[in-house]
Amino acid sequence: MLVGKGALSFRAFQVNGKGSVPTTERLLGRLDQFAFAGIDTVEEGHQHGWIAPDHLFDGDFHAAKVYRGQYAVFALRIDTRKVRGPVLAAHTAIAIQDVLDAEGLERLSGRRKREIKQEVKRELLAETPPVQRAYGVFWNVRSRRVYLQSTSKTVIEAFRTLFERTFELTAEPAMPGVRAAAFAHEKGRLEALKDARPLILNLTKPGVREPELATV
Amino acid sequence: MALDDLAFAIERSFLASEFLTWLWFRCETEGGTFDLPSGGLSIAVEDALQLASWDEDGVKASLRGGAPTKRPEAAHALAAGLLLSKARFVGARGGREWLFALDGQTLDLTSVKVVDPEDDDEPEDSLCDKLAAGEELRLAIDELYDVFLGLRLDDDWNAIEVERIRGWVSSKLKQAQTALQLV
Repeated sequence: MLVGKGALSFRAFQVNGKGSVPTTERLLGRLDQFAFAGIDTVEEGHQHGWIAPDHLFDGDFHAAKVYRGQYAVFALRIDTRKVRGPVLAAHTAIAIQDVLDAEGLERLSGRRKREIKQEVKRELLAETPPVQRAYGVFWNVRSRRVYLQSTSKTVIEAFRTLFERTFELTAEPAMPGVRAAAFAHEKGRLEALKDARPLILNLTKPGVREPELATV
Repeated sequence: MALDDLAFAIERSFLASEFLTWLWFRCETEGGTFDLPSGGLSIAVEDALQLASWDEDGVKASLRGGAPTKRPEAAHALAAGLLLSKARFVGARGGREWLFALDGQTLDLTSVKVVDPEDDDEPEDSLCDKLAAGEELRLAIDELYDVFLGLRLDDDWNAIEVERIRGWVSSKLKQAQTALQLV
């Protein structure tokens, strides 16, 4: 099970938009439509999509599996294919030396070296398996809160983009500043928030400078 | 959210480390039990303290193991103007206990472990129970943050709460100096 495995680390998001409580049919159908499709090229980069909660190759979005109590559970799979810089540099140096030896040359032009490097990279990518990662998602559909089991910026960005494309809903992260702005707005304390400056506790050096902040 | 609003909110992210520091202060001075809309919550700072200045490029200090909240190093870091930027906490409500870390930049919950009371009955769905326990903690921390924001945005913040926090730091500093003189 990819969701809820081990100690939980997660980012919370508020789900907003028209139809922010999707029906079971819509939720499952959209997951299926944006399911992980695999890396089918040998280009460097990432590929991501949804998978069902059991394991990395689980593409079976059945209600009995996805719906657990008040939650819809599934996972974001991100595959990454990349050749590490030092490995590429080493293979390129060997390939250049082979060409020099074979053609009896002392040096190659910059253009030829770039061509060799690109060819070496293509070959290495073709034999490099992608790194496969999955991040659990649990969505309290009725209360419009979704949780991603990652706090990595890259993963969060991939999640938000895919979630918004998939469900045509926004997933707003509940960051401290955003929550403070919402709280201040609700309580009529926006001016106080605008005037708020970082707490200076310094007992040893009174009068240290205060930071400049935006006052939008 | 408009870009201007987003920039405004991001620049107020310093409130998160103030919140953690305030939480530490309230735990030590008032016992750490809070009445929240979702119910009572007892909380304590446990371990793995990270302290930092509000400036991202500023000084950072880490303390772990051996009751670090009571260490002279912690008192000196606070007195030098550092705020709590990350720590491990323990929280309890009813028979349930959580061990977790709270991040002072994002307020993300990490490494959440749930300890439920010994019960002969197996839960109907242990995954669902675990996720619900994680969500319950998230909501409780959000409510605690709202309690802090209510005080932070009050006109009396500087006159009352900041003075109390300074008094707490001053008291910790005196205890630290006493402890060091005894060595």
